[in-house]
Amino acid sequence: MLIQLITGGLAIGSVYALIALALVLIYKGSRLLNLAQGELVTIAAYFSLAILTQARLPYLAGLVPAVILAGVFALIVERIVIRPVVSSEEWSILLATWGVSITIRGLIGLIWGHEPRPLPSPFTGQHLHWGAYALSAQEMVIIVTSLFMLLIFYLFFKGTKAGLAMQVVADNQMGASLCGISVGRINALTWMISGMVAAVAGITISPIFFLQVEMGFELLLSAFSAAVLGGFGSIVGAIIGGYLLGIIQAVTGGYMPEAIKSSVPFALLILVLVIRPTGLFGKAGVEKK
Amino acid sequence: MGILKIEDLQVYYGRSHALFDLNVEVAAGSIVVMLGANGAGKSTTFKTISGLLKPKEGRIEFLGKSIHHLPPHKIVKLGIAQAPEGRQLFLNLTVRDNLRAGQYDLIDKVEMKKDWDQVIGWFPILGERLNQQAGTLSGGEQQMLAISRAFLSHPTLLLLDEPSLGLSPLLVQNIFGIISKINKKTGLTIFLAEQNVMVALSIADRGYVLKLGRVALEGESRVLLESKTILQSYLGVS
Amino acid sequence: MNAPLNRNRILWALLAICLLLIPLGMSNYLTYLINLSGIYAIAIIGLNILMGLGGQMFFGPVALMAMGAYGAASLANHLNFPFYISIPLSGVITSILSLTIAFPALRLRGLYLAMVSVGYHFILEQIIGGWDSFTGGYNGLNLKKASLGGIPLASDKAFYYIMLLAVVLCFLGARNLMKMRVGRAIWALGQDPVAASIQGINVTSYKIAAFMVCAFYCGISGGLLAHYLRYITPYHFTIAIAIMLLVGMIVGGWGSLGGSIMGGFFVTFLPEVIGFFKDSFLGASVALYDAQETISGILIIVVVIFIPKGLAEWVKGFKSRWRYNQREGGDRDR
Repeated sequence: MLIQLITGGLAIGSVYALIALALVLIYKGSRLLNLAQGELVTIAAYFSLAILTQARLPYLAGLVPAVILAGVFALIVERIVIRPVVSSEEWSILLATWGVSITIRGLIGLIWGHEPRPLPSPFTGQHLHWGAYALSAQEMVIIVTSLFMLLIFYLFFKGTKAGLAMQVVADNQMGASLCGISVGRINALTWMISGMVAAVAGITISPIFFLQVEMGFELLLSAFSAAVLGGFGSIVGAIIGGYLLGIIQAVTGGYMPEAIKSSVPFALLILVLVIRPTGLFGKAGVEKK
Repeated sequence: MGILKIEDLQVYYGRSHALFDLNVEVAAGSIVVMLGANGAGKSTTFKTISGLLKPKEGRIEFLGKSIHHLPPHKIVKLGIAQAPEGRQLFLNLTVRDNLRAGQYDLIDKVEMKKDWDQVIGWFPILGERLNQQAGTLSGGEQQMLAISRAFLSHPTLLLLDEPSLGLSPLLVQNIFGIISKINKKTGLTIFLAEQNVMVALSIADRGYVLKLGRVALEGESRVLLESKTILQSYLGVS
Repeated sequence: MNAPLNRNRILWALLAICLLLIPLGMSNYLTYLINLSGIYAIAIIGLNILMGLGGQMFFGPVALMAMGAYGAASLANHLNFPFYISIPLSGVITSILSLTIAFPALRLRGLYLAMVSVGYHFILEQIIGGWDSFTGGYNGLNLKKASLGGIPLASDKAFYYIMLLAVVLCFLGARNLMKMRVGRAIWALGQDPVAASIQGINVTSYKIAAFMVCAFYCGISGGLLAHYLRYITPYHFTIAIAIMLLVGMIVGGWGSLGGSIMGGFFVTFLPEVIGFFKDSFLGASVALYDAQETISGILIIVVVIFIPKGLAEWVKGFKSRWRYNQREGGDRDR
């Protein structure tokens, strides 16, 4: 029983880790909290639904175009909405991202309606047998694809020039532009990557949790809690925070009533913010608001 | 032949008028220094040249091309590099990554390696600390890193904003010696802003004295050094 | 010297008469919408004091409204308090209960406070939904009819006058508050907490004061809502409404009292306007809720990009230009 709780926790934790990573990337690059991050996940999942049902592609093949589409969508949002407000006050930017979030939700509701839809996947209901245990195949897919995505991201971030540019812009924007780096272009790239990372999270979790218009907001809150747990502003922290939150949620949920399970991210968030606001890996005093 | 020409520049810093009718010319291959007390407008001038500030009126021309309306990263691409006020290093990244960032735009691997080796040759201490986090370096080492990062973008004009700030006299002599060496060996045009009058004028060909946003005095450095009384009245130099 | 003063007095008197006579010429439904606008305007005033003035990013005003609503309902139902006691009293109770978020808020800045206040809202929603015995849970809670000296206030029009009185009192109260030491201290800490504390302002006390004032207003707003609708459920106090209040505040004008009133109208009339356009142009088959969401979202984005200072500032700009033109014309013989 415990082993299944842990794999479940790792699976949802992978999702939290990816979305938290996306959040922190944007925050480090442009000092803004993307309230629409959850909706980027949702729209990616619905893109994959459209691709899988219309184009009749097999599950994993449908994943790739959906991820790319999600990246492009995020890029468009950045250019149209974020670029004009990036120099405004903090609440302006926050509200702008919230406006995006509401708009996406409304559009999804208009196009696909509010009924929960399952994402067809050949792994649903299948089990892998490991010794005496039967592990959910879809959960395994989530864990493996997420790790793969994280690996690709790591190679990109540390190994390519663009990745270096992202690190540089996150550290000091003035210094970055004096090195010939276009901060605006890097921010756009950051959004695109965040969109794609979030897409993988959404597409892999949807066969289990079903696609719903409202799924984004709860994921955002959980991912935010994960990022804060790991120390908001730390990429490594966000990822570890995600897995940790997933496991804590799954394990406590196994032994507690269902209603409490969804409050775990909240409770943890409030606890962390009150006791140790810098989280596990964050640096005290370095963060701007 | 002036590679950088600033004409009738008016710059505002927020709501305050920071630079008035600025006219400066920097000749190719020379070292020009802009002297002035704190708040005289040296950094404002440098920020405007690099595109971090936009002038209200006037023009800046580099190699005959008008640049004052361009975004900073494009100005770097044209060949102007700056080690700015406050250094603006990437403190959380390694020394190596800071230097690599300087070479961001370049593609000629042979040239890049040559530049890299040169820089390590001038500042061997950086070579020893390549894997260290830039934030852990001493003040002098950070200054060397800032100058190196700017140099590594293979510029035609190098701007140095107060390279002596916060450094011991020995280090200042060291760094200025290297700056002079860079100019003599590579012919790189250097425009520097300084409060430390003597050291700056000792390596410069020409100087401008800035007072409250205006050019109060200009001339060959030799002449400026000799007219110490005039310097005294403008800068309070003893 | 007397001429302009008299003219102002006449204008105010005209305005007062208009306000008093309005409901006589309108449909019940329109009066209902105006009543709701006033109720939400009061909450927005409270939010403006905390956010616009005090600079705290707070997404929980609707949670406070819920406290006020259920509080007033209980006082009326169980203790038989008349509405003019239950509403202010529940405002005070809400104010005290707001300490549960005010104290944690002391340690949080900006983004973090925003997120925690959202969490606060959700937790409160769970409590209201779960505490059946007290709140009636998701089935809702009924209130008895409000009555004034034995005469029951049954109609929308009757309630209009109560709402008007409440709004005027709240408006004047807020205006005076801003002039008093408390108000100025809250403004100072909203501008720059560090500078404020250096000037000797006890940032902690005034932050808490700002929360309590906001809670008082939201509590009154909730109490009015409860007595007006006579039936409240958790669905009346969702996070979506909280966001709409925030948008209304910004559209009306960050930190502006007049803007808060406009914000209240914005919150109430926007869904109606969208619904009207949707039916006229898109047809009945298009889901209203989703159309509302989409248009609200786009509207928020447009407002943030193009009118960052809000409608109140825009109106003020218009008014000052009008006055300038007037003066140019009228005072030529001076």
